[in-house]
Amino acid sequence: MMQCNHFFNGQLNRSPYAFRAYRANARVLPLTTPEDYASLGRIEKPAVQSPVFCGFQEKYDLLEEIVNAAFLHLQPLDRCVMTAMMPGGLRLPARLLQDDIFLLHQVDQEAKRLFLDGFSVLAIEESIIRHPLESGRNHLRLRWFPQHSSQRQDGWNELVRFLHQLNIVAIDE
Amino acid sequence: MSELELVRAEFIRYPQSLLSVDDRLQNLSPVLAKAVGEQIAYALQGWQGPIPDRHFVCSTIMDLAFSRQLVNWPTLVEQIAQYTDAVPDMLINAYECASWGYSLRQALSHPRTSPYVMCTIVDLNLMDLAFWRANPNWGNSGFGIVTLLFRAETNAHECVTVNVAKTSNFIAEFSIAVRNALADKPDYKLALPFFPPAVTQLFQRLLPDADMLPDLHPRFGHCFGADPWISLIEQAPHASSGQRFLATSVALNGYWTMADITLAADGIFNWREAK
Repeated sequence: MMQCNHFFNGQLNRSPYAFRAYRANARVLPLTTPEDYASLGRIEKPAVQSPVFCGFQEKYDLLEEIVNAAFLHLQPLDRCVMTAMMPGGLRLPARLLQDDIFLLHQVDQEAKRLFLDGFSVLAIEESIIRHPLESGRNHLRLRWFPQHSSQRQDGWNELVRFLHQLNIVAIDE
Repeated sequence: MSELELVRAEFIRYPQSLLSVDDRLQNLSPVLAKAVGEQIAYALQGWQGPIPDRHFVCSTIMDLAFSRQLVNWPTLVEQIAQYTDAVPDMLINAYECASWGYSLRQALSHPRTSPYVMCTIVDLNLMDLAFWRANPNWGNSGFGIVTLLFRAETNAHECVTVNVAKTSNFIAEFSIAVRNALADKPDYKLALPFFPPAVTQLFQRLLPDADMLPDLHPRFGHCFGADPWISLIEQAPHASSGQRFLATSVALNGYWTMADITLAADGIFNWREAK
């Protein structure tokens, strides 16, 4: 039976790399004609505008660090499925393109399929925005589906501590 | 056994946007579902085999509609089910034009219950934005949907390669990777993505010995991940039995994919224009 006994629901609440310098590289879809503005003007604004805490490169660095930490701390872990906000604008880090990670729009079905095939799976969903025109609440949700119960909780706790160091804190909602 | 055989490939070209900018965005999901659902049903006409248990929708340019919640994926899938039983099960767009290759890698390198895998590559200008119509990077765009049905033998994952460039000169890195892949395969025909002359000249310089299928950019524009499959559809009536192809795509961010493909003897390969 597919059991998620490890669940983290968090939110980025300030810059993950407060004292690191990053090149400004915002990539926003260029709008060039009145029709472009009319077209996008049909999209409703979000009720709450989330703050932007990280740029494009910072976000990829953040996701790469989280994946590296997950594979370091979680035992057992074979596969990771993760949502991807596109267009990326920048090249994904090579780690996120390896064959133990699959990036897709919705993770549930693939996580379940991999688990039933015998893999221990981590599902990562995020809505961290990189520009005010993106929609998202800066949420990060992690669910771990190990094939067998870990004897020790240390790995999961280590991972959550690492997320806190990146200013991703647990929330109730 | 490691054959990856193309059984069906159907492309439909959309010269016009599905919706005008005056239409309500609420209409987007049902209109998109109709276009995709009817295309899948058309591609599988007369198909007697089992419905694949893996069916990826791949896209390069349509993320906005999904990330801004203009189209809800589960709702879209329900709407597509009104037109076909072969509903897609997931949407892949992170890898841009190379999304079909990363999807095949995922499908073929994990346990499967069926020898059949489907990819439907959908690149429609849903918001009718000028940026997507033409761009200095790829010239004029071509919009459409291509539905692909593969028969994949046990080790067919060996037929698919994905990789990413290490430098900003991704076209050169991709070309060298293609050249290496073809080094011991002189009989292969090469299906490259469609690009304007500046890029195709680079292909010709770096791949002087490759047996390239014609660049169809002047006719179709750059059709994102669909390009190599349109080439194969065009070539299919002239292909000799057992002919092997290398189908390739490269994305602006430097992701690329190559697939070693044969065409099924009883395969159906067509394209048509949307009315």
